[in-house]
Amino acid sequence: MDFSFAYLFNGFLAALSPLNILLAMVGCLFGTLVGVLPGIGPTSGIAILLPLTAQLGDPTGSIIMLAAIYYGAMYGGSTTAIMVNIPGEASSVCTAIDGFQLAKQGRGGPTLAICAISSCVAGTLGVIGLSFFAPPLANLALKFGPPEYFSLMFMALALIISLAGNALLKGLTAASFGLLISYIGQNPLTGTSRLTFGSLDLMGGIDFISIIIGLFAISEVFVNVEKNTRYMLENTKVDWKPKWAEVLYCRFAMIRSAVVGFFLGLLPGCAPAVTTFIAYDIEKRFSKHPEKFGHGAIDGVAAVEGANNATSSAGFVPLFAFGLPTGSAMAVLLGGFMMYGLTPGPMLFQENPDFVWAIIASMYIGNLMCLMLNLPLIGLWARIAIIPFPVLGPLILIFSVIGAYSVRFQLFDVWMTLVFGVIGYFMRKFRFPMAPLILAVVLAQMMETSLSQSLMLSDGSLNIFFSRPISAFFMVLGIAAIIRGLWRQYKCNSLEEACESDD
Amino acid sequence: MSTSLRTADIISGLFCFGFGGAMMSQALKIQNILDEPLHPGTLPLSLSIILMVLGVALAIRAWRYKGARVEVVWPELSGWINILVTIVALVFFYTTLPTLGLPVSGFIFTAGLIWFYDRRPHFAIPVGLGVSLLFYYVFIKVLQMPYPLGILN
Repeated sequence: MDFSFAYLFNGFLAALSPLNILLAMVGCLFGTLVGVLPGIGPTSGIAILLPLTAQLGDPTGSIIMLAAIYYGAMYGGSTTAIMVNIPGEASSVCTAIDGFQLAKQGRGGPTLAICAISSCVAGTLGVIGLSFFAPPLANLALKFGPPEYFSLMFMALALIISLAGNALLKGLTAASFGLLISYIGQNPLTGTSRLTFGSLDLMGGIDFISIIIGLFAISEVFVNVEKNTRYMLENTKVDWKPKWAEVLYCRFAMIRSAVVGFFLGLLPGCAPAVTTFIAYDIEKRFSKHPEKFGHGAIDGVAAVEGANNATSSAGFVPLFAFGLPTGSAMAVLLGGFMMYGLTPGPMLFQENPDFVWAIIASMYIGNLMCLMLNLPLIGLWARIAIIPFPVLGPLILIFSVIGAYSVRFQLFDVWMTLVFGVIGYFMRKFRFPMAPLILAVVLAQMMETSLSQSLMLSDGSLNIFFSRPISAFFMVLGIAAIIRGLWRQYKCNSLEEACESDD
Repeated sequence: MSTSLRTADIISGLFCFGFGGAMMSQALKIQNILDEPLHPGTLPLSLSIILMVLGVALAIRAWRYKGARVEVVWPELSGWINILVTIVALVFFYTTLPTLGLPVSGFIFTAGLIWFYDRRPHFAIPVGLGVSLLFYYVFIKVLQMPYPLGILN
């Protein structure tokens, strides 16, 4: 595919038709609502509306709406994470870490606004990348084999463990615990049953949404009920406008996270959960106030949301160029393409340029539309702060439970939220960091699969991770992060210090 | 109730050691039926051992700590009662979900817990009813998600 302004211009003409604008708006709004509800992510949202869009009979309008649901859900996903500490998806975990702290300080509304602005900026930068550089970038993504994937995951995990700062020992313990519980169930390649203690329920594994909801939302309620809290957020201001200085302060975080999210988002299987953790870590290293991370760093939240949306834009590159979905939501979207007899791949740009460029142009419009729709809604979300905890607490619990149940419709997942709620409560009391555990849970299966595939390629030799340049680069970075963390741990003598970076 | 972080770390370390040990006993039973280059038990076994080692390291580090006492802040008796009631309410909700269904079970759970926290039934019943109707119409009727309907089926 060669970029041409004529194609893009024609795309804008198609995308700006009243019907397509309406469909994009409906998609953005539905996506935002789907993102707000815990457990019902973009995959479910697209799957629910896919049969309905068939009634339209117009593939361009239908895909515009489905794509809008996808990136609209990325905007909405941060709301519950910030206001009530329920990250409905793994990609919102880092948002919850700092966003909820800011909400407690009465900055929930402005934080949501910064998230929306960052999402719009990074999402638009991602679409620019998609418009201009899709083919060479898609080819670059294909250079990633199993060893590169394994090294990338290893580096991500090492960086997050090192984020635990002086509490490295606890970070390592939490990560090991997370990896171990992720291996409960069936081996992803062979189907061998593992660590199930003979339980049929455990054979299906423990879904990571149940783990996240338990660790964050349920344990948050426990922490509040023990204190007879009247209001969950200490400061019940409903102001939502961010200060201009805050937006300016976050501008580089938005750009950096867009770049990180976009490039990592090109890789099939590299979910927003991974890119957001990496963007968060990078931002902490670049920030003028790294000490605020974990205690309410607005640039951290901006980086996470930016990376999330850039990743979702980047996911369209391999989808358009090779018909390769980077995640489950993209796979459902691919189903939408196929429903209309469109086969994504190099020929799509030549055979259906009007269709492709209309979708790309609609994404520019859709990102602005999401911002316009989300900013007025922030005032409404910010009012969560004035709901008394005796009412808000049970609502958090029931929405969390429903969110966990929605993933696989199994009661077992709901029970797991309670188990991890109790574990999360004690982790908070004993000052264990949660982020390494969450990332380990998200990465475990992908790491094992890519490790296994790499060893198949190398006949069991671990040298494969150091003999390929990209893989070696990530491995060296990961090892350096761990050595740095170990050194800090060695230099730290007090238990209190060893817990101060507990987020 | 008073616990120091040192004691908490020793308890956590011992828990990790025990949990790692239990997982190791399971990992040793995993068989490599398909003769994969990476034995399906390799990672679980390695991680079980790593968790046990880390647990011991955590406990020893805390044991050897001689600095100032750092307190773990536990709730008072009323706080423990609140947590216990919340857990019992959740267990009730989970248990009755298949038989009573999401709308009815959700109503009892939400209204009951709000009443317990707030002591004002005039607040609890409308909120519980609202949540119940929201679940019924939005999730079950409009989105057609397969939540249990129980007695409403």
